Amino acid sequence: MMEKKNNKVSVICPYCGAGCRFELIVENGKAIGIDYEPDHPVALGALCPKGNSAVELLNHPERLTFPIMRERNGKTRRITWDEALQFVANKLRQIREDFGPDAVGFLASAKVSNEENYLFQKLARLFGSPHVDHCARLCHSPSIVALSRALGSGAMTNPISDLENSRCILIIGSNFSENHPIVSRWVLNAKDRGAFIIAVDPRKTPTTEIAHIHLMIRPGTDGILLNAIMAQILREGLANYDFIASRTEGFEHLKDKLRQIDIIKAAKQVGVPVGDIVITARKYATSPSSAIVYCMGITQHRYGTDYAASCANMALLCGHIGRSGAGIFPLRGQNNVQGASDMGALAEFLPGYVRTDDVEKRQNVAKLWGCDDLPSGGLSVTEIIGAILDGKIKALFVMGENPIVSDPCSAETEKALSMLDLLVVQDIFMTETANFAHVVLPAAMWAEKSGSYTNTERRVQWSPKALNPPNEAKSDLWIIGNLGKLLGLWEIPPQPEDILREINLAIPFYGGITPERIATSKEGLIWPCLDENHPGTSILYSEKFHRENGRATFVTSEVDFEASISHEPFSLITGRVAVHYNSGSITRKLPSLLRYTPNLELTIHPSDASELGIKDGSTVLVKTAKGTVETVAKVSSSVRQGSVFMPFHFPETNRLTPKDLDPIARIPSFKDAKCRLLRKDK
Amino acid sequence: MQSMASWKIFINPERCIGCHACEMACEQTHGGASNIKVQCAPVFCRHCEVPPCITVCYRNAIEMRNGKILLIKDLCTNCGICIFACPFGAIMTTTITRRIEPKEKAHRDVPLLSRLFGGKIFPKERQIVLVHKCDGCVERAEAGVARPACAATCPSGAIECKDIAQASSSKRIRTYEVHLVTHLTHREGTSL
Repeated sequence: MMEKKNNKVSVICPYCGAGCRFELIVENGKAIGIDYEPDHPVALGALCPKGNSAVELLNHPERLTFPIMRERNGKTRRITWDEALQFVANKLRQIREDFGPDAVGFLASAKVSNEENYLFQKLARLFGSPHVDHCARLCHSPSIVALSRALGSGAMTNPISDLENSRCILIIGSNFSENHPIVSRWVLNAKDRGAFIIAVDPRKTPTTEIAHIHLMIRPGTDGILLNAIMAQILREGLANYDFIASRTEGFEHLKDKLRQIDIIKAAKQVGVPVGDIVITARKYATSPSSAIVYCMGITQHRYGTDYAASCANMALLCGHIGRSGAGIFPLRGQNNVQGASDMGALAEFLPGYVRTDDVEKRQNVAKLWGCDDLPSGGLSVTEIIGAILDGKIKALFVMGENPIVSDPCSAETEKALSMLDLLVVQDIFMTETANFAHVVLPAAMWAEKSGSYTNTERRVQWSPKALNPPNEAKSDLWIIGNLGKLLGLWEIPPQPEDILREINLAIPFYGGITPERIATSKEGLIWPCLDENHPGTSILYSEKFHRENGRATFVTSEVDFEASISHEPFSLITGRVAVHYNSGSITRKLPSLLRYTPNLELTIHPSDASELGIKDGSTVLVKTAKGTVETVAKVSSSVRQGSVFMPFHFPETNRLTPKDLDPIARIPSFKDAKCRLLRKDK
Repeated sequence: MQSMASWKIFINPERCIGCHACEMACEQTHGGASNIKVQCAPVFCRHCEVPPCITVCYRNAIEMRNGKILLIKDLCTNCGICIFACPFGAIMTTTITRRIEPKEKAHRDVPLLSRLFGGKIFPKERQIVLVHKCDGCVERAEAGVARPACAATCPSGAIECKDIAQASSSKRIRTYEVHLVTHLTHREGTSL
């Protein structure tokens, strides 16, 4: 393949979780352009601006191309791969001897393939450390927990394109027009076919412009709103009682709770007209097929798990699940965050969502890996940082993550990383985190290796190798495989196909997703795909739920959401913009994207701005309990009075965010930050 | 595969989400300068049947070929009169900085001031405004790809590439479906 002069290789887009495919045009081993694939089911060949920047990313001059070691005096030097891996392996062994295997933390990545994540968490767990986690913790861990508790599986129930068949779409806490632009195509198609679109968002965004009605709620009151809508549905008798009786359990408890809700009081707390809540309740409940699309506006809260559970409750209450056009759509943010979660790169889950505290099932996995037992009780991303500060974790191995920018309260993260005895970072660029690393390992990008990726709609697709990595950069699989070999965990570094075959054995719902089947199919397969002849399942729960008795359950939250309303002057909302991607370590390096949003800006409502004497473009100081950041104000009525917005693609934003964790899913409450603003006089 | 002449580009402004994907795709296809500008909706050449830009061009640098309006770079003087003529604002300009070669010293473009000082002060570079416009992705069509890059990449379906019969029938279906659904929900008495 590689010798041909000019060829097209069909690869998966490296950005969001939508899993679009495009053709990379390769000439003489160099990417020169892209072409579109109009027959791909996810987006019909469409690509957002980020996808269009793929070639620029592959040819970026600042790529890491050789391993780097940082000396004690802070100087860096180039080393060989043998030296780097030997150093890491020796140091890891030494730390295990001195402090036990618990003293090593591993951060997997939602950007690398299923095989690499599987091998990475296997390495961590065979090494003896339970602390393996990745950034799904920071976006959709509440969805995994809440939806698996309520429905049996924590993923999106229908494919993205199925949104087209909905008659009512409730978008809550999602700005997919900017973050997953191709989703907007299907929502707009539904709108063209007469669907009613409701958006719930504290800001005006391109997504809310699509909607017929926009509920511009006070930040952090999503739970109250969802409860109020459900209370209204019950009061008007619009619930689907047949569905509730035949397919669910635990309804009585929820009913008792919802009976106590006064929707007029709730509307006041949420800050929207009562009429809008009533319309939402009627439209959602009475349409023939309704969908809920939600994202990090629901999950990144102190009670994110309860909010996500409320979304599930609402779908179950009206029976809008398990049919075409009716379902729950938690949109995932990275190209393989679904896959990384499936592969068990999470502290509480082994591959296939086997809980680490379930001794029997855990030992089954251990048996497959050829050992007696596996460690349990791992810490999450944010807890690992806390444990480093407490001196419990001495070494951290980071694969393709940038915790300094993505984790809350960056100052603490920076302090923690500088305390480590060993920090290994495996990445494509010199990120903010890599600046603290003792050893930096250059990794290959998605098109420079082959592997499978699972998109947000559970579609497992194979992305073949299109070109060679630059200079000495190596695929993550090669690095993990060889490190495992040096640590004595396995004898031969495995190939991606071998690992996928092991995944077929380890994870029942990946059983039929063999390398032979997906490597030849552009569309991939949608799990659950139980055996070789299974066609894949695009719509979940059409017959039964994935729980033991086949029934879904209403998860009633005992939390009093009203208590979480705070009366501090400003709510700080963090979010994304169309041209940037997560921690920005990629997109801030691409001039063609950076020109649209070059700097961090704070969006503030005109009334608030005039009260504080802030003008468009004036410098403001944003203060929270965690830190102070200087930024430029942008006066716009796209935010509510009393709330301000900052994108989190820039390192400054997460200096401000609080570290409180959701008690169940352990997600930090990024979106609950409260801040004060000060004008900075020149 | 559609032939080059049969399709037209349709823009659905209400669908545009302002993501700039079309600009990026256009830049890649046309070597760095985008022929599309996204304001509230993508703005670019509509390939009019009676094109005012052709009428005003005194160099005959704009011509219609297979229903596409093309700008011939070799003939264009970058005078910019087509920019004024275009009712859509679809003709773009890019300012580029070009180095002045030493042999160009006595060239008429050198500012008068420099010449007055006996050629001692010369600007090292000068700025040139280039005029360019959408060419309907001729190169892609020649390579056998039916759709222009912007229509292929548009994530929300705001830029569509269809022939006129197809577009009008889909418009009719769209209107029918909206009315059907509205009618049904009214009958059930659930609409507000």
